[in-house]
Amino acid sequence: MPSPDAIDRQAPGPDKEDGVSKEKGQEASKPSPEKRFQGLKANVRAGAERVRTQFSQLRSKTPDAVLTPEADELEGLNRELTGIEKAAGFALGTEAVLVVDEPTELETGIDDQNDKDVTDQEIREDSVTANNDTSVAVEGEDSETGDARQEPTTEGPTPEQTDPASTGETKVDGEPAKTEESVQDQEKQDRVSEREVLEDDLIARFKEATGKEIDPAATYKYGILMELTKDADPSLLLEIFEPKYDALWTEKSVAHAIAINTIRQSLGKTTLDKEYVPTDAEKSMVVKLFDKFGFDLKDATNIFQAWTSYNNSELPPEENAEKRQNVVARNFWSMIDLKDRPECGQDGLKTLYDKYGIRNFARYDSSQLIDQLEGRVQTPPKVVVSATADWNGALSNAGYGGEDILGKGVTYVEAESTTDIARRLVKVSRDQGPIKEVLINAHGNSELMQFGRKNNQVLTTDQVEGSKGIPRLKDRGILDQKAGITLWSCDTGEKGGFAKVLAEATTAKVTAPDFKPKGIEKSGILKRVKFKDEQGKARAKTYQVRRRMTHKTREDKAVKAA
Amino acid sequence: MQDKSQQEKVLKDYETKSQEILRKMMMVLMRAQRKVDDSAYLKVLQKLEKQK
Repeated sequence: MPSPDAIDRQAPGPDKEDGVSKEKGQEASKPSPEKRFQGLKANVRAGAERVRTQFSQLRSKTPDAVLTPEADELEGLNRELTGIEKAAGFALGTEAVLVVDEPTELETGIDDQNDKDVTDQEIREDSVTANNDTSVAVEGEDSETGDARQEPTTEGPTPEQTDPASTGETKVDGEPAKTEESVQDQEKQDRVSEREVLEDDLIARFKEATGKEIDPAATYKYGILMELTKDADPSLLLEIFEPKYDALWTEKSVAHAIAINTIRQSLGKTTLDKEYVPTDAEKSMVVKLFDKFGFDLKDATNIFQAWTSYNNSELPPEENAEKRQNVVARNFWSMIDLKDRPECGQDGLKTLYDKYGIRNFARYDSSQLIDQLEGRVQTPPKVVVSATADWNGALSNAGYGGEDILGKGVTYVEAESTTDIARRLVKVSRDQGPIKEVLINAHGNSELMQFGRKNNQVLTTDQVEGSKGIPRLKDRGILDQKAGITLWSCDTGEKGGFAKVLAEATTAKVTAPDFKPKGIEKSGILKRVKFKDEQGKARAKTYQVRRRMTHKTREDKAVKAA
Repeated sequence: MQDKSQQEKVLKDYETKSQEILRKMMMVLMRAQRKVDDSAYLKVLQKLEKQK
């Protein structure tokens, strides 16, 4: 499976500056943006093609209808890809004309103010139906539009399609019989009407409060709402949203609008200006938002700190602020998406946080976390341990990367310190038995792995060597006797480095890269875990210490043989 | 003609968004794989096949 993971998993440290200066040195010999665009485009297309080929193979094994929602979703994503290709090509001058023959859902107003023109196009769409059909989305909203596309198959026709005359109801004594389907349709239509009233009310209030002008032809209400609230002051958002707060959560796209737009202003300010202190209204909104998912103030602080650990000082300040906001937007979206699933229940998110330490919900596919919640996990367990902190977004592929390497039914945990790692692993082993494979997903270098955002939330080679607990992991039944550990972390496989020290301490087989990996995969006849380097070559270092045969064990063997 | 920094921004933007879309595509693929693999699901299908 192709990996989009191309970001360094290097822990921030002094040795990083070398890498930066090397990159700067290479800058002069860079090909032109047009050429790089063509190269990138070809790579992306090849990746998309591989996904489509694999999907076609899957589809050929099942009856057509089974994978129809996924086929629709892939088609929508493909359209989205074509849209951004066209727009980028046009902006770079490689495409002469930008033909927008369908909504290109490039962006949305949540995260990229430079795409305002496209947002406007989106808002000018003629009807909500048109948007549903063609998957117009805000970044992070795509799953929602995916759901919208699936609605007709799962919940009956959309209100626009609902026509009493065509529903095939049987009439008894001149009265149309209320079939289950028609009741559901009616309920759905009521819900849509309620939502529309709510949206209209909010739009009117925001128009009045902000004085913003919206194209009179625009009818896509969610888009209008996003546009109106985009730069609004959090206190104003709080004031207008608060009285309708509970009602708003019945519609997840509206919930998303509140979540994103109420915190992005504040977050942007704190990222760009270290002196900026969030106002009480801003703090209050964040707390209120987390409360909706069952988290108290302490949980909310921990989770929010994990999200905002994204802080890439290598980027220009505005880009860094924008990406930081995106991380928060994606995580909020994932929480909303999870909460919206009936299997998740009232306490699902809280359970994932309390039991497994999950804070970065966007790192995983919702269905992976649902599987975990419902106990559909492998026994003996295979665990992905991810650091809570991620300064550059390199750890965001824990979900699919973990499943790709360890298979279905992986148990995902997140940890911010060494004690946290121990606690999580002990808990998993108690519930599911000794752990067979561990994939540790964190930033690191040859000397350490970083888990939390504080400087002391690291696991160093000295700590591993001096630890009394780590050598006993197998004896205590936390790790399986044949356990394997993979370190998905920069440079940890260097000679004499972290992986070797860990292999000696645990006597487990430890695989790690001795470079900065750009992806992870299983390759070769033996399907061994390898990491992709910058040239796309897969390699890895594996360390395993065989226990030296002592005099006693030699004697025991001789007795056994006799 | 745009200046270099604008072009760089467009490029960077394209890279980020396209990687995000690829990531989503892979998630969909994984979901499809899971659906196909799900034995319970296949059993239901077999049952339906028999009924036909």
